[in-house]
Amino acid sequence: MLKKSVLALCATVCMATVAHAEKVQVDAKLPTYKATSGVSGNLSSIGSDTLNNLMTYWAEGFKKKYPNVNIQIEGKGSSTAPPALIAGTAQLGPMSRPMKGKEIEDFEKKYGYKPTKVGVALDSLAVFVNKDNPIKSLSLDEVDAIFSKTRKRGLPEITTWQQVGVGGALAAKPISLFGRNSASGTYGYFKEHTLKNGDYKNTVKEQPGSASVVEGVAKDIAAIGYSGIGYATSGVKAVPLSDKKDGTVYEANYANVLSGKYPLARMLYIYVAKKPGQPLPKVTEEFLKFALSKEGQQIVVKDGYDPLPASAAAEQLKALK
Amino acid sequence: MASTIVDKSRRNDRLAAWIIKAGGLFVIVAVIGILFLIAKVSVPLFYSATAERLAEVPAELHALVAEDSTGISQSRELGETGSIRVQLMSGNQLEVQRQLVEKDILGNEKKTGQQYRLTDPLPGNISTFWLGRKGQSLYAGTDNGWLIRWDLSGDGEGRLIETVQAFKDHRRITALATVLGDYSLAVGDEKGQVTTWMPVSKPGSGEDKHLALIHRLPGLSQPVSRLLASPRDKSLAVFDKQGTVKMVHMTSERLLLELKAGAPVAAAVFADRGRKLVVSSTDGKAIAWKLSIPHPEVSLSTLFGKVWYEGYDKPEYVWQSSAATDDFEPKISLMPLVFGTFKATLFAMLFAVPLALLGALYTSQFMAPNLKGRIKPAVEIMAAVPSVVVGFLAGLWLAPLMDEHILALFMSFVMVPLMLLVAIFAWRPLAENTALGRRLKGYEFLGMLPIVFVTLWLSWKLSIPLEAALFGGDLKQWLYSTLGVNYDQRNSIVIAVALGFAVIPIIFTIAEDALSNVPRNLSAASLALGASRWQTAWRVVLPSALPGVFSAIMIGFGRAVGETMIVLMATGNTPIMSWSLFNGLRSLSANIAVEIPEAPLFGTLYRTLFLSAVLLFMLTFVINTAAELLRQRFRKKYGRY
Repeated sequence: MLKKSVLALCATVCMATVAHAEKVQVDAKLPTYKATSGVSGNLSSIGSDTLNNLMTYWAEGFKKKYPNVNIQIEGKGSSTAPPALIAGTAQLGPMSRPMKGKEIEDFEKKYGYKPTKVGVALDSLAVFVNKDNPIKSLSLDEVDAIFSKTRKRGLPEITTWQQVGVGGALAAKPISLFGRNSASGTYGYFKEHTLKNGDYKNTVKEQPGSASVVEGVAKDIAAIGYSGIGYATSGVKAVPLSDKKDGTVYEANYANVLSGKYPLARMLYIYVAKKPGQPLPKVTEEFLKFALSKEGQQIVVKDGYDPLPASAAAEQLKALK
Repeated sequence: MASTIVDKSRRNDRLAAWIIKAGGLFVIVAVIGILFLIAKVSVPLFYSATAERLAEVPAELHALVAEDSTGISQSRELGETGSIRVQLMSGNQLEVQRQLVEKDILGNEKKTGQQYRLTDPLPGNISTFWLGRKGQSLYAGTDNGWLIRWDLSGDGEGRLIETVQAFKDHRRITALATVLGDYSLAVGDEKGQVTTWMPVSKPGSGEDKHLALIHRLPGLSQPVSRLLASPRDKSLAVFDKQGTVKMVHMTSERLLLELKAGAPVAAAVFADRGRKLVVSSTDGKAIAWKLSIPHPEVSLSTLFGKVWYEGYDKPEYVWQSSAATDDFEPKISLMPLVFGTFKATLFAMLFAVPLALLGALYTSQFMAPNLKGRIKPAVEIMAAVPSVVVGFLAGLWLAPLMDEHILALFMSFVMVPLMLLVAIFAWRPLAENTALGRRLKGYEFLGMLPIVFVTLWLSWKLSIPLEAALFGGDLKQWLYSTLGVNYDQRNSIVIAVALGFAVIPIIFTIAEDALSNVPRNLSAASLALGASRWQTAWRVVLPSALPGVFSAIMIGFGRAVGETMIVLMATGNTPIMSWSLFNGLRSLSANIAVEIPEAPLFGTLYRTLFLSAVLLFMLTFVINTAAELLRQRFRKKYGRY
């Protein structure tokens, strides 16, 4: 039920992202996908909520090529992927962060080999504020001082908007914090890179999905939140970020992600259980090939994320060999 | 003929009695079985650790332990960026050697070396030192109880941060090591004590952080000769000269294991990601243990007590169970969750009980019977609304609405009862003296409805100029800047209303049944003796029905404690411990729903969540039992209905 309502929200959200995404061009050198014969069966994917829409679109495109394939997709958070892969309830484990040491260890205990990580898209994790918020930019140091109670980046605590230079009616308002639940890879990534492994404040409202974070920020003028850029709507805006306070500010656009200048750019992954020296089951392999093809990457763009360049896609395909 | 019918019906009665008894027994067994199953998952949290000595030490472990050398120099490989090495020189000085490797875009490597001595004046002779695993910080301990900390993270030479007199009695510091994550420093001394220290900002000292004593861990009777941090979690292996090894955990301050090497230990190392401990004695013999320490971070004090976590300025109750990295210190205090559960329940009951009970009293005693026949089922239908729908509406519709009209809401809390009172006083003469009034007896309720709506509208209209006049146009801002109270959109008022909505029909319907079942002859006798209708309802009917009314409240209470979806969706799930109406909460049940899908099967978090389920079960069990006992007493005291 929860998932359905979140999905319903996503539907509206995704429409809005199309406009944002048209600017990005897919690398022309990416291979076009050629359908082969003998692909059928069931595929199940359990994992990241950030990747949930993308997986759904890929599944749609893939089903058009192979009508005999059944695909089920569930996205409750990256941390749900490793248990599902280990229990064998899913063949694909989309994750918005790399697996932790313990998760790899558990996986190895069950299978005897390490999981295979395939990068499928690029994402710039965005810090969102309400569209009526006049703020021009933020540094990660300030974001840390807003979100963290341990403040490992060292700035003093920030509680109101005037402390980050916002004037007018918003100035004295306390900052209202929205974040993801701890199952999400976005939660972990943000914690690791922005908070330097510090702790979130108790007052961060943990939302079960990226869409509800964005929805919360859109409804609350004094709010700030973080999620994958793909969930942006017209009610929020992504704040350009710099790493250090007073550093150079970069917008969350494709060029800055590719050049590595945007401080919260990350790779999104699909994990699979692949026995070394043996090919993957045909359906799984073809699905990954599809995702990394020109068509697949066009879907990435359509969903508001950033596509891989051809060289990177080829690099990721090598992992399947 | 007649006797066979009697026999038959007696037989049927006995049969029915047996079936009912069996059914009841089955329910009890099922409930206990469920509790047992949940408890079974959570009990291994408290299992003690075991170690199994390997019969033979494999060659690779031999090689590994041979590499360990903690003498007068320590070095760290820093991945692709180079390496760092620190050596204790004669003259009580440490020398730092750093190799930096820089790679440009084309892959060309440029190596630079750096070598310098730390010449700061020291308060004592260095007895031991420790270079952080990431090569960023350097610690030294002296023979008279001082700790010294340098920062090596910049490009230039190392910078002395502070010298701290750790022990007033000038004891010798004999061993140092940083715990996994490189944030806390474990200190072993000649008295056998093990303590951990970390930089903490003290009030008044601004943003500067100073080393402070955080945890006292179970120590040894002999001087500590060596400390070894586990690469798996925040555990430490503590060694003495005689070959005793104790495994202790920092956060829970637990003694996990005690091992005997049997001979003085020369070198020691963790292998297999902290699951094996290998030591070699001075005579060159190696011993290896396979450690099985299932849940070192769990103890009663970490679950229910305040704990001073890494990076915090004071001990706190914290729930923050996971992170993307392994060197994270899990924070699994159940107190904020228990608190959140009680807070949600209390506020919901404050909202629901008066409404539901007074509603029930009115419906059963004063309302016209045919109107009652419609109202009661309507309220019962309220109970059939799925809680996820209530939660969804509360979170996405009610919360923003309340956010906009918060003053109007507060005003209506005062104005609606007030206006109703005024209306009632105005109506009373009419009710008794006019034909219309007499005819409308039992339907007064319908006349109230427009008054309630008009008052709501009025308080909304009035709140706008009032807010502008008294609170500068923004009550929330006023609350924050004058009272320091933070208004959160997802707050406890939303929960109280939404949870109250779920609880009201239950309390109402059971209480109404209890009140209606009080025999007519009681109230008729009371009325005949000249008591008014209100006196009869309040003094005769209500006391007689008190046991039933009390059950109604307790069943509502039980529902509120266990309710999950409403709390999950309508709050921000913020594990705060504050009674403020204006911020949110995180309840035990919502926490289980949020975190169980991510919890690694049979991991610490998984079992802790099951433990919190046991706790929830016990809470409701204790409350219900107490309620039932109270109810029995009421029954004896007040009546039999």
